[in-house]
Amino acid sequence: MATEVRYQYGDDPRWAASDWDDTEWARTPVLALPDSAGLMWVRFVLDVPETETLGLSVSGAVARDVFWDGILLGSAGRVGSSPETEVPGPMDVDLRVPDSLASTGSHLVALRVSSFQRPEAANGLLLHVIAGEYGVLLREPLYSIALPLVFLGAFVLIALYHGLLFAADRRWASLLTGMLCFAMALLLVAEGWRIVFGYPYDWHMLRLRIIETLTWATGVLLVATLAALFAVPRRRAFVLGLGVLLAVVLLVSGPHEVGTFVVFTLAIAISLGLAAWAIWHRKSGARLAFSGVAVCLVALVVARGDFMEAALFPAFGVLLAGLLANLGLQSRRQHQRHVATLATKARLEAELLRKHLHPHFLMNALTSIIEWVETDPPQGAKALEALSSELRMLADVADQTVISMGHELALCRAHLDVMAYRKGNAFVLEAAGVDMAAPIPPAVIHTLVENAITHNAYPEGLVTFVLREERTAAHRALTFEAPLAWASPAIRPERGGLRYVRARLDECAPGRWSLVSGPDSGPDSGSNSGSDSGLWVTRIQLPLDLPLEPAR
Amino acid sequence: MHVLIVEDERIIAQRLRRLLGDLAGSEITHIDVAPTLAEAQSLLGATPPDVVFLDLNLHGDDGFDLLRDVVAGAFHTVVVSAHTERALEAFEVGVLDFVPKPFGKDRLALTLDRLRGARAAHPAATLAVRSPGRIELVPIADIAHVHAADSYAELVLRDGSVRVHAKSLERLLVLLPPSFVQIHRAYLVRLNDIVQLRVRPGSRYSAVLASGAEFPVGRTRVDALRQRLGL
Repeated sequence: MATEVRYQYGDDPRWAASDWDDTEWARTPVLALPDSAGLMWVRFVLDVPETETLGLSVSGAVARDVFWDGILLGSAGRVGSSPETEVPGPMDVDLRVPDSLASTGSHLVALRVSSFQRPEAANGLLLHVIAGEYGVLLREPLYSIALPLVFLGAFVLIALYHGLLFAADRRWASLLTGMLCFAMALLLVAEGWRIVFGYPYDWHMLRLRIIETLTWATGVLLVATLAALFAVPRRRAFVLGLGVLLAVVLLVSGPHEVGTFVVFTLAIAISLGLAAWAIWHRKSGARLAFSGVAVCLVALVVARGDFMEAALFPAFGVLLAGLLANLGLQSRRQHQRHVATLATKARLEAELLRKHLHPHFLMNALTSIIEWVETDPPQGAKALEALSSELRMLADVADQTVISMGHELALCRAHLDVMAYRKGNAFVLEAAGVDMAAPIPPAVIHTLVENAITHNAYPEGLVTFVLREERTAAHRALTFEAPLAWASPAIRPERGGLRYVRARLDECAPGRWSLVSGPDSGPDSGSNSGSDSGLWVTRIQLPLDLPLEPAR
Repeated sequence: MHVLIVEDERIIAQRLRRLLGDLAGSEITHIDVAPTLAEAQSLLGATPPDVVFLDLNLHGDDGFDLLRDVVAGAFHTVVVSAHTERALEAFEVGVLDFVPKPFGKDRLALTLDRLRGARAAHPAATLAVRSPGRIELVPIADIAHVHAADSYAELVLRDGSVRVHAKSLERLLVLLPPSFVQIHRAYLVRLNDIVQLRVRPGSRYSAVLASGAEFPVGRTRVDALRQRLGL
């Protein structure tokens, strides 16, 4: 297309003629046509290459009649002198120049244009005229959209996959990745719409606004996804701030091409920073994310002038590859986690059972029971029943992740029965106000009871343990109190028993529990810790939403 | 016989007391029970027992470190434990017997036989000797001979140095390997070390050792020694 055109407001059919004297008309570079809605004529000379079938592609956000050496080739919409008389036509039209008119050399193109339907002024009249082989003019835009359409399919599939993943795992990273892919898919649709479907020119600005919004959303979602993937601290505020910043940048950065380029480049640069931060903190997948984003950034900067057409899709392609690789890594990690969970489960089950087949427990119990059998046979029989009952209950619960509190307390009381036959004490576990239906990992309270009896030298008589429960909006706190009667004066460090409790809590509510254990000599003698009186208090906090497996 | 039972399980302590009473009621003058080490130590200080029945896993503690300290005492130590896998370890530091849980009357009768003067079920590999501030484990192989000194025993080592053990000569003999023989009220020597049985004027005998040392042989022990030496 010619770089300089002449234009004139008004309307006169004679202005189509190739020999009309337009020397008095205003001259302007083609991109600097005035932002006027009025009816005008634009004239310029076009050099035509040698072709078999000459075509003329005329694009612009205007209704237009196209004249070739004074002869009307075709129209897009109906040019009018007022908003009422104008009918907007398609943005892009490809016209065939009759062979009789298609000689090589210079030809005069005259355009009669009006743009009353344009909602706001764009940069000039957005006129674009190319002469060339008619078939090529028709097909070329389709070639440019073919690859992006392939990406579109991939993005839609990955978005759906992450949507399903989010429904299952409720992780923000899954939802955000899905939304990111969906935003990219929409951006591709918005970009490709003009070529594939076309639209009247008065829709053009709307499409540009949609592309800008989607570019903004893609940038923000990319940063949000990385922030969620790498668990960046205070990421909500960070992403929110970035969203506002990019919106402001978009609004103040002028022309459409500049705005989208700057916004996208900024988002990619910030993503690169996040990935670098993740590498520094040794997050898994950080190196992959960094290289993906870095390649994307290079592609953007290199293809800067032709961002939407040349750089956007390759950049998306790199991001897509990164996302797919990350998916693979994630599923491998999930598999590893699953295997580790199974191993933990097996280990805890074995630990619980071994503890009660361990000679210290079993042989001491049997020695006491033999004594009962020899001195008081009916009591001996009851002692044996108590031991069998505890062992049976342990075998029942050992392979479960959680059981009901009622089940757990029955297990505790079975243990207390056995210990009563061994120690000659009467043991009581009070649990007033404890929700019997609520879930608890197996043998947790049981272990606390067991530790208390093992580490204390209780004098003959009644020993009372107390279990309390308090609920807040999100948590359930269980407090276990055991009277203190240390066998030796030193406070004992944490033993295997509490390690088991911690492992069980972590198995059923990873990272969402707490356990505090220590002496408490009563409200008025707090400093007297470690004495041989008072209480040993263990406090366990659990989330309210523990899943309760059906008890067998 | 004065017995101390150290056991944190009340019914098991009661069982030990009952069975020992049934088996040796006439010999046993007194039985104390201590459920904790602190109580055991205060009882040991008050009236030294002849034998301590010791559970090694009191209140969840592994009591094997403590065992060295206990076996250095003047009294015999009998370990009563569920951990049979550690019996050899216990014998090596010089316990008289290791009674595995659960135990019955017959098993305790065997322990009482050993207490009455038979050899330990396994000879010790070391003897724990208490010196100020620490316990030294003296390998049996290093001991040349043993002398009585009041109610104690002096272990004379092959390098000539001497360690004082709180146990009497008679109690040590029970723990030592059969290669040690008592040739006199006050002397234990190794049978293999004796190179000559010398007759002295007045029908008195002495044993000459390979090292050249010479120890008197008690009149009542001469015949038994001749027999052991194959003379």
